[in-house]
Amino acid sequence: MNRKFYARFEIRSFLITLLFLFGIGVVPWNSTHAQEASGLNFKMYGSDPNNTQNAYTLESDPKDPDKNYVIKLILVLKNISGQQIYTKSGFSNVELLRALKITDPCGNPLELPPDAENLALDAPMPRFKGGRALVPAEILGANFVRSLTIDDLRQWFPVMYELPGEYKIAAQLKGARFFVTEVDSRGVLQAVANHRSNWFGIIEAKVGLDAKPQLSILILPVSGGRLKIRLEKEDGQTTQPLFGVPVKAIAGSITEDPANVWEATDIEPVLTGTSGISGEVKWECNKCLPQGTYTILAKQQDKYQTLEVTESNSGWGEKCSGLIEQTVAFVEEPPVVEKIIKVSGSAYNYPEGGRYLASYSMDVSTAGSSPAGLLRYSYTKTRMIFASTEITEVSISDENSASIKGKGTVNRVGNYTFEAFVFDGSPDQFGITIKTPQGDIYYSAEPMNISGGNLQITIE
Amino acid sequence: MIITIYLLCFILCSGLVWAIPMADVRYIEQELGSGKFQYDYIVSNNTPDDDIWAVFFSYDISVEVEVFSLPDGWISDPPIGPPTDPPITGFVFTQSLIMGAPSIGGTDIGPGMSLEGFSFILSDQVGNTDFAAYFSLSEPIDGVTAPVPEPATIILLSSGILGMGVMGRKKMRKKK
Repeated sequence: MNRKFYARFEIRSFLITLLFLFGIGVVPWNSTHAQEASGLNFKMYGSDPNNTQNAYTLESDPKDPDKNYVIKLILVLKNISGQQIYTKSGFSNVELLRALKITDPCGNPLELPPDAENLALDAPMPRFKGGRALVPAEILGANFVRSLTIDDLRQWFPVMYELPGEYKIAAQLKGARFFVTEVDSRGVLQAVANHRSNWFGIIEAKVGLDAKPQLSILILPVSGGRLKIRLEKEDGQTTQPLFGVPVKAIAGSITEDPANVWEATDIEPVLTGTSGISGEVKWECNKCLPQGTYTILAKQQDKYQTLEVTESNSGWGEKCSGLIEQTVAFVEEPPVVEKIIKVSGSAYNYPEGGRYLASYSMDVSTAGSSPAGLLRYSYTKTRMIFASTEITEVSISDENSASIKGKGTVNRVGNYTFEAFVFDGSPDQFGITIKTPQGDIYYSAEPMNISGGNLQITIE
Repeated sequence: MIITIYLLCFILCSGLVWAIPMADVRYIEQELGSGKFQYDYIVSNNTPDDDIWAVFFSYDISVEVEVFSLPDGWISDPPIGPPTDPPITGFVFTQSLIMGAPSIGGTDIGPGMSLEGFSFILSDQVGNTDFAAYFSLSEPIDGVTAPVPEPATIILLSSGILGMGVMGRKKMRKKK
């Protein structure tokens, strides 16, 4: 019994709470309640039913509509309020044309040419005095409909002849004084008030049947691509991305000094950008480049680097579907580090076989301003003791082979020259040629394996 | 008595025959600690008319050598000095700088002369090792180094021989 009682009590509490919430408005009575912005219907249509993608080709002949070049646009304004609507400045064809808000592929707004107003005068113009309308500029009747057909959008915006990419087109009308209307719970439009504060309302055109806020028009070259440029710094050993380096892309090849081209004010770059942390250039406008020849210019401090991108590069694609990936490298010469070569050790062998050994010691290096050290070579067969007095050159042909040149004495006499060859391997090898002051060979032992000891070449 | 004297002469004479190679290298071994040993060599020229101008000391390839000192007028491979990096192993070649015996101003080891001062520090206890001596006139010879006999050994040997002599003499008297 208690259980039934508590169940009833809980349901009752829930219902009371719900009624309370409705009472204070937390839960709306009718959530479909909505307000229509105006009684005007403003629509924009691309006129070519066969071109649903609104894609046009840059290289087509503008005089030949068959080549899908003409970009037609229709704007339609219609009063659907069932009431008269007062407007502040009227909606002449010029006003409809002015309503267009077009941005180029880089996001820059396009301006109407100054003579645009002289080209469409088939509608009453507002009358102003002191900047204010004397009378309502135009009263739109209950069945008012006005349309503007733009035969070729490029007539007004010639940049569309040159710059491929995606153009976004919207239309906004300002200054309509209109009835504020409401849609009731049955979905019926109802006039509420001819409110004065609505002079400055904005009516945005809806595009086609989809009622999108803007129309996209693609103007593409027959073949083209987008540039993906990466900047790197190479020092012969490592490659690192370059950050914050300004980059320009210029149409055509350059033969002048890149510094002059960079500074030239009469050369308009096709693209400008700056390299990011990864070294990849972020373009201010990621334009599509029609297939052709372009020069990439990068400036790092006072150094310029150029790279030419031409049709032969891979990456160009049909209708600008291509991606041209290139790397611009600033090659920095690695700092010149003088290698210190050191040849040292003692060893012996038997140059002619038999019992007579040759013994030798050396400790030479290039650590100082000039090669220095000592080399001594003794041959027991002739009791020859050669001792260097000067080391003139220590060089390496690879990390295991060294050559030592210099002067010295034989048995403490004379002014001989010598060239010794040392191979630091397994086993080590040693050979020496001693020449008289006249240049004749006094003694020569071909490089051969040592019989004992150790010779070492160190490169630091 | 006659037999004892004969035996003694035989032993001594035969010993002399064995101990007279053209060159003789003796050494004194001294342990330095840390596994190192110092060897001080004495090179003797036993020829009557030739000079020794170079001596080649050969060791096992694993033995690291450091030439500590040399007689005046002598040089070596490896040269005198602290251990090199990497160390030289397995040999020391020493040679006289000035040709001729000291009697004529050279630094060679003259006939019948001995020269000490060849002092090497080795990384192991090598004991008797091979050497080669180079002569001015003759072919080089090979040999094996030997330790310098210690005084105690000489005294022990001498006393033994003397004791044998005394005992032999006593026996002779008893027989008489």
